[in-house]
Amino acid sequence: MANRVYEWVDERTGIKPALDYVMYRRLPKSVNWFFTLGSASLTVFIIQAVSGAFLAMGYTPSTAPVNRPDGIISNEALESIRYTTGEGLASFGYWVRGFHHWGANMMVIVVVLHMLRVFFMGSYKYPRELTWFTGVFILILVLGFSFTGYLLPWDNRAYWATQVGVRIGGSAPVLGDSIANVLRGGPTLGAQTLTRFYALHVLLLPALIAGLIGVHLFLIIKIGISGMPKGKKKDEAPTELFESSSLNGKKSGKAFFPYIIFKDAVVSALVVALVVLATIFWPVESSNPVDANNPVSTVQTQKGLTIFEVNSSKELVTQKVNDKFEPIKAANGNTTYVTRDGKEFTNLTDNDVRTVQVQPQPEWYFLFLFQFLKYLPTEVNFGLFSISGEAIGGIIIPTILIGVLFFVPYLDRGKKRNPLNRPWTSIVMLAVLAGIVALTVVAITDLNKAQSVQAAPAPAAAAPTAGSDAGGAATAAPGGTATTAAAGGATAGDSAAGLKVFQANGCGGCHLNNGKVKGIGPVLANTTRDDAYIRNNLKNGKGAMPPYPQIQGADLDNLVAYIKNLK
Amino acid sequence: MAVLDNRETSASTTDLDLPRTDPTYTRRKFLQWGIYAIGGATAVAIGVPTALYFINPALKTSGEGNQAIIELGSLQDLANQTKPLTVAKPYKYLDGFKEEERNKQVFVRALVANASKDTDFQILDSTCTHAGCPVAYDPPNAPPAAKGKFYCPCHGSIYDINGKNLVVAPAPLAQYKPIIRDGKLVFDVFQQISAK
Repeated sequence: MANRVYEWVDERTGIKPALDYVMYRRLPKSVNWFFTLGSASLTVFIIQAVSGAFLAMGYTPSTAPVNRPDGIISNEALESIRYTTGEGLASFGYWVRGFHHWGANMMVIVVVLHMLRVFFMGSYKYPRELTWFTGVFILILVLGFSFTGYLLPWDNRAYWATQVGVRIGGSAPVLGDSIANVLRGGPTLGAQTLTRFYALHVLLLPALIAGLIGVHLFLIIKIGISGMPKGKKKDEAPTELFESSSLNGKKSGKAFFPYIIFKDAVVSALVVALVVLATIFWPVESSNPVDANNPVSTVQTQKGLTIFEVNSSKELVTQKVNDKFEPIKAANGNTTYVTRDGKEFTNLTDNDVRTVQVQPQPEWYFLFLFQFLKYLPTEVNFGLFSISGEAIGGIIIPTILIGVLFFVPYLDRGKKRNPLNRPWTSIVMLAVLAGIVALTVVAITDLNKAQSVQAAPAPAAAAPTAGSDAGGAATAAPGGTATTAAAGGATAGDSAAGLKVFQANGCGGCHLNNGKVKGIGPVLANTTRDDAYIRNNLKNGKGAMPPYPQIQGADLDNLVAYIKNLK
Repeated sequence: MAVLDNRETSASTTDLDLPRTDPTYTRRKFLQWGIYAIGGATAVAIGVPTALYFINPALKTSGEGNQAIIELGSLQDLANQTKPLTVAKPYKYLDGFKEEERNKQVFVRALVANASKDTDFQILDSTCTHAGCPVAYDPPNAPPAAKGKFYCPCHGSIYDINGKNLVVAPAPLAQYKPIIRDGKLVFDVFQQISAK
């Protein structure tokens, strides 16, 4: 039956010879398991396309508010996702979201590994430069998918990470503001940004990447696969343009079907199995609904272990408590409290204050860039002009690196393919890789440290004012830290009032424990920076830190005083 | 197309016509079926949950989990309302993740004098079963044939006082189950009963 349909189609299209060529073309005998990464990338792309198309059916790209039954004000984007995918493994939407989420992670891994294989084997050399160029574009598009897709759940984590991402784009010399406005679709990150990112993610980027993948595949079939580089001594550049076609005549080499494609199928199946297993065992969860003003909330206890969760505007966020938010008394007398974020706090004692922080945390494969930015100075002066550190680390250096990667076929023009015969090319790539890995490891360690600090009791636990008014309780934190005000005295502002400004603006989200502990941002205690530096960074931001121009007047004076006097 | 030009060379490599005893033949066959099996399993792993997600709406019955109680009035007030009384009220409808306010217009009447039981009442939906327009009870501009009956202004459907379709309309008006709760007559928008 299938044969007769195929013949019917062939009679009307003449497709058989072309398909036969694709399926039975001969590839070099040296093609081995390393060469399966490209087809694995294609498999993951198909997973992304399928799961993405179906996820889009259940998604609303809108920031319009939705009142949740648990009393939390959410938004349509997040609630549409929660509705279609939120019921765990019992809802099929959860599976589809899992495929898409873990597929996206897998995509980055497989595409980068594929690129490294091509790089170290010198497969980008003549006549395959064009294949390489399209490949680099595909890599950039994959990262573009990641950046745009991350925002779509419109939860706090995504919102704050995108703030930082857009800010890095906005730090570009000269065009910075325009770039940020184009990314956001306006002067602020909001409804325009969400629909813009959504359209990019589901319309423009897929069309571009599909076209590029088509060209990439055509070239691979047309030119043939390079095969393993020969040994160090025998190494030579490819001499024949169409190796696989020439192999066909000689009957040397292996037929794509079934020999080569079998390995492809095995590795693709392995990759898919990992995606499915991750879907089953690692639930994909969103964080809080976007709360643009309040990235931080605080858990406080009063005598008798009444527990409040308040956000940085001192609003009680557990007003309509559902079961999940109730403190649970454990058998050993300790109390566990689960926040609106699902974060657990154990061993709460009377008059305890813990910070629940929103981590403006990008996907793990962008962490190295965040970390790198932290090491750069605010501004580098070149005499005639100066460039901000984040423009250098976030724009200029990455652009140079991508540019170098792109033009590698013309920078490494030797005839040799074996990585041992191209020591400089190999060393530079290894060094860049080592740097990225090291920065990522440091970033992850820092994040883990930040989280464990959060889970530990605050040292000088504040004594919230008595009474059932949690709003009052939140502002009472100075009880613990106001001591710093007395210690300083050099600055005009009022440190105790500065702490309130600090908390109201969510500074503690990155500068943990009211600035005493390193989080995403550095420790602020015992700073040697002068007033002007602190004021400038508050006004203009620095690196991953967003600007806070809205803090002005007495508030600004008090905040600066607080930071300067912090011990 | 250069690709097509290679048909002669490719032809020699497509052969599976080796003798079946040839080890190459069995190896090829094994790999071939291995590819189909692995590819099939992969497609099933991703495809089945996705397909189930897609057809999920068909697995749920409409209005499942929804409840929208509309209050019609106190039992006392309605006990002798033997002529259909038009009631239009909003109700909350949970459309997926979003709660919406929708409107419902019904006709309620007591079937007997001094009605006191739920079965003594009749609640008719106002949506014409022909083209979905709202019908009215005994409207002033209706033709004589519709006197004392339900009349639809769109295509002239007429229903008798029990909602039975007389002219044009293909089916009787929908009915809701009357519920007596705390001395009041109410109904649930999602609880229809078939016409008697």
